[in-house]
Amino acid sequence: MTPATDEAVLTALDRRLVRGVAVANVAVISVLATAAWVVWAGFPSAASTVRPTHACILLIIRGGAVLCLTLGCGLVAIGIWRAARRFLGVPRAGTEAIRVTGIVSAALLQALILAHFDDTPVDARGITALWVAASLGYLVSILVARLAARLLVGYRRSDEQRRVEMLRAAEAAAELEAEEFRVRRMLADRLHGSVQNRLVVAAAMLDNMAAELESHGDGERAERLREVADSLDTLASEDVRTVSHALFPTEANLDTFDAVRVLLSRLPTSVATALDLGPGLHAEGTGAAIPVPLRLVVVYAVEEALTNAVKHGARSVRVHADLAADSGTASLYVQVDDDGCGLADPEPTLHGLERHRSRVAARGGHLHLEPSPEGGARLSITLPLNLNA
Amino acid sequence: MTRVTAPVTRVSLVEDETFVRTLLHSTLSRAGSVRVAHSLSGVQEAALAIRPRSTDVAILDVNLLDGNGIALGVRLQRADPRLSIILLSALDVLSLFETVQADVPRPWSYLSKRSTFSSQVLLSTVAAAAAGQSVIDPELVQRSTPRAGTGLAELSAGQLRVLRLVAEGLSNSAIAERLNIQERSVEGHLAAIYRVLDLNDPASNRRVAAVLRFLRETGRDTP
Repeated sequence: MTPATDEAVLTALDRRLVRGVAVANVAVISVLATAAWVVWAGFPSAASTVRPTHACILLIIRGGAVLCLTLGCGLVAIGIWRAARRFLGVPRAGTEAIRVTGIVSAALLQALILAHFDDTPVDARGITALWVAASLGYLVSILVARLAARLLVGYRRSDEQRRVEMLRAAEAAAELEAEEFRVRRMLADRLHGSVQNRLVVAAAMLDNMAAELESHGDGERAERLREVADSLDTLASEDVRTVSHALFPTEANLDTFDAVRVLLSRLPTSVATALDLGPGLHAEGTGAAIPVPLRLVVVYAVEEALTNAVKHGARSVRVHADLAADSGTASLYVQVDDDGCGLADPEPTLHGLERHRSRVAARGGHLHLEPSPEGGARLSITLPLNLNA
Repeated sequence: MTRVTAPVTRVSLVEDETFVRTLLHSTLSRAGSVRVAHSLSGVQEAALAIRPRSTDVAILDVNLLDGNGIALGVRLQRADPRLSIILLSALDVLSLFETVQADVPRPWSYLSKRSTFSSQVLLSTVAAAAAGQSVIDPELVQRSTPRAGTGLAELSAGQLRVLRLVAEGLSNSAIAERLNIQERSVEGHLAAIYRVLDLNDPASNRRVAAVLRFLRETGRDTP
């Protein structure tokens, strides 16, 4: 891994955190060094000619100056460390050499400052000891910050990897889904096209034969042929249609609510139906703008609700739908009311609808069943939509 | 009608099933009042061949191999608003047909494939469609029942009988003949039907509007 990419995975906050660790460590070292300086030489002795209060004030001023200067040295060490990479990033060994030199120089500066502010003269050994201590202090401070950076880089990398994997999984799922719809649509088209056509043509040929038989005076066999033709016709128009609808409702190719209208038109005629679309859906083509998988979620859930309504003896069903859009995101709201014998339990358990509930939930929506003000059941579906996608 | 007074109706056929296309072609060719302008098998072909003003009536299969007959019809009619469309289908696409019907320049007709094998139904549909009438498959019309709660459900049995025949594309005199009543009472029924269905504007094509309502407000109960 190159340092550049390490740097790249860290967020601005991460970088600030690493800097914070380094500066905090250097600050601690500076405070400790100043404290050591005070203990070592700073307290005014009883024999001092200066008055104690003056001595105290002098101590505080000098201590403050020492602290500021040592802190400055630490910051210089950090600055050189960082600058080494910025200006000489590429030659690795050279960079490290400059960094160490920077630390050692800053430490020497700190040792000299401590010695300079001391009243009693310090010998070369003392300065060397101070120098080594400061060097180690700065080095540890910066290495701890570097360790923090390493940990953060590792964390960010695994985080990024997890995100990429999730994205890949979502893409794979979407591809699978698209393929499933393609196959379902193709099968439904085949059923509609050739299978139904052949059946109808066969029925028509039988009709012709029946007419011929009739003209030859064989009314009885003509009648039987017509019955066969009728059953072929029913097979073509009802059975094949039912299977093909379960695979893929053709109407959903046009518009979500055309498909709902078709569902309503197929209910027994003893049931009054109504479809009202709210103002959000009045704009041309809104129903067609809903992605096909979502259209199917809506169409199949509404179909289940309608089947239940008829099963529970409803005399009237009403489908209300609207689209609420604000700033890029929209949500589709669909409500199916019936006046059937209703729900015994105000918090009913879902049977056939459970499958639809999980489909809706998988797309970030809600499906809810409750008693309807019209007497029967009310099914509500809310689905988030991204119309620009 | 004699051939002198009735101009020849030019018909174009678009149907991918060869057997059906051949059968339709021969049925239409046998009739003196009809000339088959084009006999085609797909959307691409039809879009190229059927030029504006070259055809009076286009008979389009709904499910074509290379596309959809409804979309093709919309496209052809946009190029030639005087073109009449008869949709042909092996399945009950009535509800789809109804959604299209609401905004086309000239009313569409709908026949199920099985009905087109009867030459009488086919030819009368072509004639009515050419005259700007909307014709719905007779067998389907007879199977349709008014839905509870609609305006159509408020029609009397006699009115409904008349409206059914209007939907089949029959003229008033043909309806009178079929029901064995005076043409004037057919007109009376129609006036009552328009009143019940709230079709008050005499300037609009109330006959077509009534058929549209018939489509919208009926269902076909499976036995």
